[in-house]
Amino acid sequence: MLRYTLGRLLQFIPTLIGIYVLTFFLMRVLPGDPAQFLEGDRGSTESLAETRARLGLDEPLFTQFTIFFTNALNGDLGKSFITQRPVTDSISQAFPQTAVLALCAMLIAVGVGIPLGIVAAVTHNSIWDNLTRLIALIGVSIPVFWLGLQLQILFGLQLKLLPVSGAGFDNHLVLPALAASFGMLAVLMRITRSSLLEVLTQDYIRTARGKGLGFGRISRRHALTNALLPILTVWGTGLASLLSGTLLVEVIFSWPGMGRLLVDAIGARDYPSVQGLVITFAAIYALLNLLVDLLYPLVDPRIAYP
Amino acid sequence: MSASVKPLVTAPRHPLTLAVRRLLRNPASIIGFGIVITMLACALLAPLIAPYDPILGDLANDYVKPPSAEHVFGTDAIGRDIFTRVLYGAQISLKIALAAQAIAMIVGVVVGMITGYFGGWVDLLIMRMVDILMAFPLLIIAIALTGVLGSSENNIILALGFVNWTITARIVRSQVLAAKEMEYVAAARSLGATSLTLMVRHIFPNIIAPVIVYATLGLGSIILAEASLSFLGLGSAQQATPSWGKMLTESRAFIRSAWWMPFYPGLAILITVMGFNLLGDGLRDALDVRAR
Amino acid sequence: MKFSLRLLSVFIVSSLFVFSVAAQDATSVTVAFAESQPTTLDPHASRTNDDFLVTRNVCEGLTNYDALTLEPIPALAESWTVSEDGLTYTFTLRAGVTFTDGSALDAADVKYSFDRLSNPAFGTSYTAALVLRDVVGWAEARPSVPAAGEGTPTPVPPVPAGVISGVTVVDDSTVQVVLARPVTSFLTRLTLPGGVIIAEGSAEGRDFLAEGPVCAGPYSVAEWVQNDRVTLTANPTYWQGAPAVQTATVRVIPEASSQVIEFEAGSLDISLAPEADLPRIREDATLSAQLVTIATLSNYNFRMNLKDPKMGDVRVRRALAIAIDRQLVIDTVLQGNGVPADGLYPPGLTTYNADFAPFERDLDEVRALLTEAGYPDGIELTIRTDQNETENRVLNAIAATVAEAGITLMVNSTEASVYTQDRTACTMEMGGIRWSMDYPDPENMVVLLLPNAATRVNCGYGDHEVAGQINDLYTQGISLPFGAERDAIFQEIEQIAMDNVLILPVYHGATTRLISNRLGGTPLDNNGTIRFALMEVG
Repeated sequence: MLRYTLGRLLQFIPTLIGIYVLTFFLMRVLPGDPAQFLEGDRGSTESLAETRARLGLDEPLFTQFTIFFTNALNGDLGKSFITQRPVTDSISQAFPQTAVLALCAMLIAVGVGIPLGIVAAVTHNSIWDNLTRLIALIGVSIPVFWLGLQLQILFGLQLKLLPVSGAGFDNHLVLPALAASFGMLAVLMRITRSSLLEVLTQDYIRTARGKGLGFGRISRRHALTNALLPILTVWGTGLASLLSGTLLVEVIFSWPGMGRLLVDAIGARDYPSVQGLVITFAAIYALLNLLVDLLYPLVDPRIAYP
Repeated sequence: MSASVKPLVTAPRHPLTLAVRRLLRNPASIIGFGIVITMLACALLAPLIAPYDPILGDLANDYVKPPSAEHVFGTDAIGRDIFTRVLYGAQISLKIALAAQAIAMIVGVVVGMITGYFGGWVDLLIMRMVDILMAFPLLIIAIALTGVLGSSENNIILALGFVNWTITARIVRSQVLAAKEMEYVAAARSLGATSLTLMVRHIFPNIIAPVIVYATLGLGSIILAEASLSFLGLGSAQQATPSWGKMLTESRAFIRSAWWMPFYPGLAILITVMGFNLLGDGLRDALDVRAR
Repeated sequence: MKFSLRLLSVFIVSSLFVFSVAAQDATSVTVAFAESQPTTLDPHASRTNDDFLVTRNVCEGLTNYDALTLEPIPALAESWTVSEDGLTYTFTLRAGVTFTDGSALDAADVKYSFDRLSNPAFGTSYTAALVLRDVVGWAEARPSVPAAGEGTPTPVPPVPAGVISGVTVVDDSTVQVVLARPVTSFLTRLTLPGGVIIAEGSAEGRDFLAEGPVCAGPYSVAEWVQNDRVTLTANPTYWQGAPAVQTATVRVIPEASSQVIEFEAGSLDISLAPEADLPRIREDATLSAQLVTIATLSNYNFRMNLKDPKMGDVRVRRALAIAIDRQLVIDTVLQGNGVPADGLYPPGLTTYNADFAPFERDLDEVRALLTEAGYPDGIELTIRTDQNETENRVLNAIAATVAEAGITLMVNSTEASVYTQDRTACTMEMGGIRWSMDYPDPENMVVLLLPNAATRVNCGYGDHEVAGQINDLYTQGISLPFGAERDAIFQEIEQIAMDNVLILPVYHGATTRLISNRLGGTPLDNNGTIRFALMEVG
């Protein structure tokens, strides 16, 4: 297993480099000059030249790239064009915020989505089944920001139960996590339901029923473990999209995470910040994928480590 | 005697007929189909059935008016009728989604078939590229493309299509990998079929089912993606084109004082996406019982 | 599975019942940044309104401005004298003032601050220029880089010394500033955020965002949390006495509608009141009593590309100017927040003339002008803007009002960075400009006409036939003492500018805020800046 993990990690390095290079050149190809963005309407020709020189934008492209790249290899991701602070500082301040939000959203999605999916499968074609399916359908179809805004109004203002925006690892988390979890919740519910349904109609389950085993025991011991594999797959891909899905939620709820940093940085053409953030997102995505792949054999003993 | 011999076994029904039958038996997919048809009709017939002009409004008299007999969905901040704009918005949103998905499908199928069939270093290289692209936040690619090419409708289509082809490619590739081992492929090859013939005439028709399923399901997420991009300020530049996502963005500030402004475009998005999802689910159940 | 389910439900239920509204006691106030968040807390690098909000509450300069009249009043300088020729200012520093690090204020701190401001490595060019551009030594402090000509190597600019020679220390409590030109607005401009005094040597290696500057103002920065908030605590040694409000929290809530929700929920004491929410606020008795409108000294106008074949024709410019129904736009989109602008100057300036109305709406004249200019069947124009929501609504409303006159105005909105780039290079027909004055002097409006910024150069403002005339009048006007003669010169500039429609003014804006009943005193000065030191709570 260790060899496999190391192998995967090594494999990811060229991908990471590729992403870095791509981001670097992509950002500089975009129209919109960071120096002019900083200067705004009041920039004289001199001050523009001054700012461009200060940001190192006048050097030939490859020189800029070499500087950025060699620094990055040493762990220095550069300084933000806007605040002049090291990019690593702003990312390390924002990362825990996004991580906690994503984690809570995932807990809600798993803790509510899977049980609901089980209920739906077990009460197949009943009113509960259809109700939960409707919720799931709405969950994958609703624009996240619309949902977020409605939640703000309902819980924040009309019921006055929860704070509307801002950070804080207390009840400030509830609404953003709820909004962020909805999509994944719905997907997990659907996959749990369909996967469990498929398993429940298998012959060996019917045999167990025939032998007189109660539904509950069957669900837990036989059905669920076999249904877990596709659920894990979906959960794995869902995690990655959850990471980028928190972006919209962060904007609506003024949650100071990496997604908001990224949106602002792209708008301001803050190249170092964008580069640093993209690399971070990519690294997280790769690690999560690795984690999911490592979990497979645990779930299904038939699968050996490659 | 020339009495015709009745065959002992009736010829099996065409799989397509079976599929359509199964589709029609499923109430959810009928609803989905109905929704999709209705939205397409709105889009196509908008110029005929829309009561007002989608771009010019009566600013003096109709500034942000709630739903009434004259304006069933109310009016917006320029005095424009929202019902009209939702109808025309169907044109924009559906056009963008269908076009983007078409691009994604074409590119994805081609890439998926090539990498799946040939394997080897081609497969490795391209799949590495796919990994890189999928690790990228959609946002950056979208901005990059709209930035380089200009922030117009066509470029949004390109951007969204570019992001989504990777998903199709992956699915196609796994289908091709499975199909390669099938007997009919070996049979055809032993009869001397070329690679191209094999791919186009034999493998492709057998893998197209899941592609269509995921394409339909993917339409919903593309519509949501377009709405999200508009929300973040990357929608098409020309002010007047009323895509639903754009309408939602513009009415963000009014969510409390004029509930109808974000409500109807949001509802349109919700219903349309639901429709595609229901239809896609139905197709999946109908075409391939064990589709994964 | 069951265990985690139980745990999860406990987590959700319990968190629903924890009320987290920060204890709003009688000595703490919570507000929100107006735009997004500060980009820096270094006063010499401050650029945005959010930067200024912190700087103005944490630091002070030689002069400050009166909260109501906006006139310069003594702050860290107790008194000053001005020489006969208006070139030499001698400031006597206030005794007994200490910085937040305990050190006493003396002339060396003033010299240090202005030197640092003039240094391009620290002081943002525009912020520094506003304060120091007329001071002797500015040209050496900020040498301009001449463009390289054909075949010559790019000249290497001399390295600035980080010194502004016109500011000198006379003795421990006296500082002298010598100007190169007798510009009357100098004292007013000293009240700007760039002119604040920081403790000598305090800037070296300082992480301004995390620690804030070392100043002598009523507050100091206690905490900065990225993308979330800045917390200020009262400075007990402030020379005017410790302020009543002990803790001031400024939160980052970029969504204006979220700010209103927070205000209504009681967790914000001052919030924005965006136009979309105004009808609802005005109908609510409690809320409307807390609604405050402040006229901002601003001019929303169109900058036109005078080199463009369409916009270069004064008849087309005038046609557009008189086709706009300004009042309708203000009544609807802006919900009454503003005044139609027919010229340069907003109400509040001495040069404002309510009777000056060259752009009366006259659709017949529009058609006549367009026909004369060669567009008898109407004309299509495009205006560029960024993604500011209000501005987009305003432009769409304007487009609706000019449509009936035969002008089709297309609104092209792009990302801010793209718009800025195109506007600087002037690759556009027209662009929307939200110009807020830096200080209350008409000369800060005339800047809109002068080719002293890349964007105006590229749009042809320097080549226009009246450019020389305007420049002469401007140079003359800025040196005159305040009074009728000075006003007359600036009004003449306005007349010339509007005769030639050099810019197209649309409206002078106002800003609305919701200010909680629990705040007394002067929470908001007439510049629209929140002043914690002037607040009383309870």
